[in-house]
Amino acid sequence: MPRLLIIDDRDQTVEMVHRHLPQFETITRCGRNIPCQVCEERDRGCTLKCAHDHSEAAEALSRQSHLPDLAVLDLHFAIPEERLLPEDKSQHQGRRAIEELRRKQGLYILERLRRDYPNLPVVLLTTTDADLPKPQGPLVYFCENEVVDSRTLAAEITRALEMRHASQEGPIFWGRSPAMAALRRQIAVISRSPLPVLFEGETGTGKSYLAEHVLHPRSGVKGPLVVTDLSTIPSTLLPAHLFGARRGSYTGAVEDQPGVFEQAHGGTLFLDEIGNLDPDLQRQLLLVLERGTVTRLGDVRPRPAAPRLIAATNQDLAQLVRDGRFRHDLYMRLNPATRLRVPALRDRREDLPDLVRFALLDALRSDALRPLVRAYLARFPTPEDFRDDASAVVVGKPQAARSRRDGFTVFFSSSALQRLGQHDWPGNHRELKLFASNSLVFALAQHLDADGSAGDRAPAILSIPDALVDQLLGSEPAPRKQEARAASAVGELGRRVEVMLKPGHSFAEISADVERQYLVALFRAFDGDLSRIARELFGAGADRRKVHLRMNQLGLRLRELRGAQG
Amino acid sequence: MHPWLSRLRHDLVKRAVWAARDLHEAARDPDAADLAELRRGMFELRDSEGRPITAGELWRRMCTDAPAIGAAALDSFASVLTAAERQVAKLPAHPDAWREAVEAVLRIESAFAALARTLEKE
Repeated sequence: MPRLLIIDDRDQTVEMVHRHLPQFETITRCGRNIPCQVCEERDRGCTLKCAHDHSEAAEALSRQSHLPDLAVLDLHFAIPEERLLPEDKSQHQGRRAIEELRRKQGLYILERLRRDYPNLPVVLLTTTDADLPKPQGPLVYFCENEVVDSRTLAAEITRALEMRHASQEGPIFWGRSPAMAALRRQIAVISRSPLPVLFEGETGTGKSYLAEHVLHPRSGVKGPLVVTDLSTIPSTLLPAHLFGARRGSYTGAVEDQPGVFEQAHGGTLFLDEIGNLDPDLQRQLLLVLERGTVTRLGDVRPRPAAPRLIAATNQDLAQLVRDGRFRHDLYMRLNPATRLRVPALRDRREDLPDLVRFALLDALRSDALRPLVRAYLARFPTPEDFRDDASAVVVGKPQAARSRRDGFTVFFSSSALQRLGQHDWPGNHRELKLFASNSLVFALAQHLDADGSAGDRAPAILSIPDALVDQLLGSEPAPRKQEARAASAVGELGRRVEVMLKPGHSFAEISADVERQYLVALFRAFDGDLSRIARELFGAGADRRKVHLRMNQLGLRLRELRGAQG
Repeated sequence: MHPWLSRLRHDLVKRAVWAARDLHEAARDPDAADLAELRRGMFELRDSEGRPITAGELWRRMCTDAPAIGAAALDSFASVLTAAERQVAKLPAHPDAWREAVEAVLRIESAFAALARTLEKE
């Protein structure tokens, strides 16, 4: 749960956050997670209050072992002169000057926070006053509503937290898990050295992503990054691909061709799936690494080839060495002392809520889903200031009050989130990304196909149903209390739906394919009872003919389905 | 923005209107705590020295050091404020009248905007 420090001369903001925004935790000077106004210690003479000025904010921060995720800072502080910043007020004499200090006190506090806690993001509750200077900084956000309300504040806080995460370390979300923290520390050290790096981790954990987006940019090398996935190149072509070839050295070598080692000279060479190399290529690779030169196939002249090597594998290389399938000397050249283990998703479950949120937002903004999102937005009216980048994911029941006014809000139930937490994610991030895309495709398609005229509910709100989560995870859904029979029927839906999102495939085709699979699953689960399917899809009272029509549109023939069932 | 207006917004308008906006946009009926918040926004404010004060008293005090602005504009704001106070004061006895109270408090925001426009012109 994100922790906030609220710095405001009045208690209203902290009170509102405590009361209306349970998704955030507020920190206090006493360390208790409740604001003074509702604390029983308040009437017992407790001297510790929430942060009402800079010195109280500094005290609250000094009591924390970790910085809060965000500080929410008011602009205007109507407090006695002696509590105002700056301490030396020789430049601010007179009633008017002091009033000006009160009016812009938030800016003074912000300046002090930037100096003392440069990593602390701050949302400044400012105004649209033209005369107000806006201090720029990577972690300063402005909430420019003239008069704040809880929903706007929540949206601004969420947005600031998301932007902070996004800007934390390029595109990587490190999260809070100890495994990722350890990896981050190791990368911070290793990235500055020229030594080879070996990434180990299951498929889909993001090894290549880390190499490309974190390790290489931080290494400071001026040369290029060359990426090669050794598992995707036919073994007969690998020598030429790695070391280069002279024209005529083999059939099809119509011109001189540098290998990836040469191309990456002075830069970084990333060899993915290095455990797949056959013994002969392992020997040649070792020679290149030891000499820092490479000789193209069919050539005699050695050429400089000394890139920084980053290798990755989803296998246990040490075990391959023990089994005699990987050369020990090459393994030692890959610097196993500093190998980096990228944790699987199931080993960082504490990060899952944030990762799910980011995956959904990523998918929502992706080109692949854009046509469907546009179709949805065209159907339901949106405000003029609607922005694609203002979308948010909220855990909880769909409520207009918790949605953004100017963006898309995806609601995701906490029980669904819990189920995601219990899933093992064998495909790791790749599977999570696919899950996010699938769930949005389904949910958008369901909304678009549902009855209802434009404007009959709050716009730009999308909820991911729990049943859909179960279905996509291929898991048994949580049993419902009352509908045991129905629950067993829905349980039969536990099957995976494959979605191929690839260029050239029209979005309508993808969407139709998803719908088709979903309807077939429902058909089987409900023994072909179209009325029940209609109720499941469109709610009580829905007509079976609607399902029949849709099935016809999708090319699903009842006779064939019933025949297959029989 | 004129410092006096800024103070008015900070000490009064923002405090009064926040709870009303929350209630206005909530998709549910308010509970006792919501109504108490609305009441606090009108009757449990703090002046610039942090002392407790009601919205009406605060406004009267602020009028004494108001900048040069037409009396009509001040009266207009005062009447909206008085109406809001009256509606919110009814709440303990008539909680069902919360919608009227919320609407009345929200009108303070537009009255403030009108006041700001007038001051800007003058």
